[in-house]
Amino acid sequence: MNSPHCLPSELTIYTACETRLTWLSWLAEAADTSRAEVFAFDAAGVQEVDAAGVQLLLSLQRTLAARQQTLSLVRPSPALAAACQALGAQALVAES
Amino acid sequence: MKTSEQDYSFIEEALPAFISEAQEQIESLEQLLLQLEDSPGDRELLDALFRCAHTVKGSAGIFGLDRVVAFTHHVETLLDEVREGRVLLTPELSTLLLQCNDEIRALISCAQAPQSESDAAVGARQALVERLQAASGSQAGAGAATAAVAASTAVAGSAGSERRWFISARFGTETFRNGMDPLSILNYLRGLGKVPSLVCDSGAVPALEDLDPESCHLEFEFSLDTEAARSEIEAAFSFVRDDCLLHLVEPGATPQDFAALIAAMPDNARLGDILVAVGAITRVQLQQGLTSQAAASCEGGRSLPLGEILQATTGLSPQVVNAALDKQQKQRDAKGGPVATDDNRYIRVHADRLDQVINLLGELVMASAGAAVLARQTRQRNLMEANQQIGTLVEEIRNGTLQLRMVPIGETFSRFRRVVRDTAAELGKDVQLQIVGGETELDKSVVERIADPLMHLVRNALDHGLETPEQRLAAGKPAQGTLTISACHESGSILIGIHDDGRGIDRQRVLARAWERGLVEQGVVPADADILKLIFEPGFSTAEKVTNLSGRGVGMDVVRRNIEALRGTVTIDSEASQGSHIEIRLPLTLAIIDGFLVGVGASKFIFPLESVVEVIEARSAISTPDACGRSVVELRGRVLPVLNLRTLYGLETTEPERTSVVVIKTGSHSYGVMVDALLGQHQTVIKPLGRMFQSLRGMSGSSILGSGEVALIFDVNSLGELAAAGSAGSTPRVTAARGAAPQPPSVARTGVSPLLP
Repeated sequence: MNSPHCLPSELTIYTACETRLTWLSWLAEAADTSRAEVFAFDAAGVQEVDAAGVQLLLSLQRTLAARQQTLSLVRPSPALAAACQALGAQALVAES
Repeated sequence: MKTSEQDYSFIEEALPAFISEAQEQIESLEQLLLQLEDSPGDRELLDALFRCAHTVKGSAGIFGLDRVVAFTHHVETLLDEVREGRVLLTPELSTLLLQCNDEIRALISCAQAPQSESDAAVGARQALVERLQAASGSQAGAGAATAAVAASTAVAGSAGSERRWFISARFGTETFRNGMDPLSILNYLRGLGKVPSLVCDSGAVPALEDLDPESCHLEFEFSLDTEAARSEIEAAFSFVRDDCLLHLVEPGATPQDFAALIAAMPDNARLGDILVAVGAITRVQLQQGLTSQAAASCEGGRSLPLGEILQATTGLSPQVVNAALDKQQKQRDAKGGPVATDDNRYIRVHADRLDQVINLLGELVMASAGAAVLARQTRQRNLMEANQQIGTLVEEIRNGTLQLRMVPIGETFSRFRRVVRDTAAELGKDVQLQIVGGETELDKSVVERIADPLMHLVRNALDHGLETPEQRLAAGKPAQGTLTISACHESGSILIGIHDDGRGIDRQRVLARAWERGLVEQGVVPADADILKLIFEPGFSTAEKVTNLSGRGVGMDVVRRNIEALRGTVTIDSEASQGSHIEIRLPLTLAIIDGFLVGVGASKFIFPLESVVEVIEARSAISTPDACGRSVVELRGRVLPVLNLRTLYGLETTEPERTSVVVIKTGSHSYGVMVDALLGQHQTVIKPLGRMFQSLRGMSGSSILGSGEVALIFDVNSLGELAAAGSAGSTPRVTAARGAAPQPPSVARTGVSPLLP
């Protein structure tokens, strides 16, 4: 597994469009280079997160699932963990 | 300045869409207000009412329609008071709100062509605003007291006891863009109490490629243990209420409540998830159920359905499980078909474009019929087969296209609610309007053209038919009168009924008026049914008191003419002090019908296919026709009147040896028509009758056949009257006197058909 990409520090509605484009480019790259089953992100740096950010992660998870890959958020920051918990998306940050 | 120009052109383009949407909102505002009169205090209706006004105000703001915003704001304020129960929605208040709604409608229609207003208009609006303010203020004192009582009872009800609510929230796509964050709403709710379980249904979240990250697709199902009252929970959603689907299930909910909630749930869920989501079972119980199911199947035993296991282990009501299973089944069914989401099921199409397609379709039908004839003449099998296939396809396209123009008649009916309400109030009557069969569909052009005649009949029933409460009580009837408008399909036509339980039509007065006006010769008394028909004669009016609603003498004959112009018929039935019943029969469409083509000599005629019951051979048993071509034949032990078209229309050809009788059914009557040749089914594009034929009775239109010949289309109802005239006994010269509906001169008074047994 190559070194994981880092999630941005702000994962909110204000950056959602930008972040989506970044992730799409990562996905395109990854599709060319690796067929790893797990697509890992370093989530330690996430400082701000809102429901739009969590929705973006859910969407990413869905895209990966369609490609038979799983999303793994490594070292989720407390802010991210709390938001996922609050929104019933704790599966995103569950220890795997 | 570039941006503002762009803005301006954007507004220019979007304004018509706004206006049409605002008009819809205003229409539903009106309907909601009227519905609220029947079920006052209905929370859902009140909420919807408020949202409608709010939406109008909001979108008017975007377009800078300051007058609309300023005025609607006052309406909204009052509606909010009403919604919170601080102001009671009295009939007077309802009237005021309806007037305000009219004002908003007027303001919106002015938006298209902005102009300076007259002082009078501004003054009138100011008066409304003052009344609105007075209404919010005056009752507020009294309302506050009730609110306080309500609050204290609410507190008393929940004091000290924590209750478990089940909440389902489906946030609207605009939530994020409106600056709202479901996360903070959920966190706020956590401040109210404990959230033991919460499920995020991310099924609606699209994959990253298709995601608009600024649209919200999140849905939550959770339970909340709290002491808070319903209003407090709802308040958490107040900023997103406009486009958020919110369901609260009260503590102590019954299986029915759960079932309703399941039905309202978004799709894409598994049985267990559905049940957990609505709070019928807990996650733990589900896990246990799943484990025991897995264990059972491991042991090689028959694995029970999850629903049954859960019923056994958790005591879950079978009704709830069934509701969940139904839901799943519907999802599967839905997936089989084309992808249908809640949105985008409708597209708006300009009516002109649709009409153009229908016109072209008419040409196509005729052209394909022509091609089929030519193909038959060549006697080439391949060509004929190919043509047949084209014919089938054209027919399918025809049916599909005509379907596009079908609209439910209910929208027209519900317009009458307001009319009935206001008219009844004006006349001092108490009337309840019932609408039956509003979902019945018919051609849009028919709907548009029937609205005015219907309106007239409704007003007539209110004005002349229904009595005042005092008169009704004196007659031993309930004070409130009932007016029923109904619609249903019957053999290719639509039946619209207007029924009132009023005083009925006084035949003596009708007759007296008819004598006075010279519609009937003095002293001649026609049959009962024919007396009633007199009210459709031109220049007839019985109202002793001419009100501004009806009684101007331009009424019923215009109604009848309009209906007949639609190839429809109108009949009236009335019983003294029991009420009147008016029945309108209309064709479903005006453009194209399935026809049954027949030949008599060299002439071709078309029956509407749905009125044809059967065809029998004309045996020698047929009686000799009278001067008008009427005779009878025995059909399965019953006497069937038969018309001979050759005699009726004076076709100068010799009768062939073999003829057939086409049996036609209209309403409850049947009759036969003698024809020489049966030419089969024919897609008929209806063209109007030429001037020459317009006085011909029994015809409703013409059509051009594939060969270029012209065929006449029968109006089976009036043809039926011709057939029945002989057997119905003496026929009064009712219509002939006015020359409005020409009859063959000899039909009038032949008395009993010579050959009736």
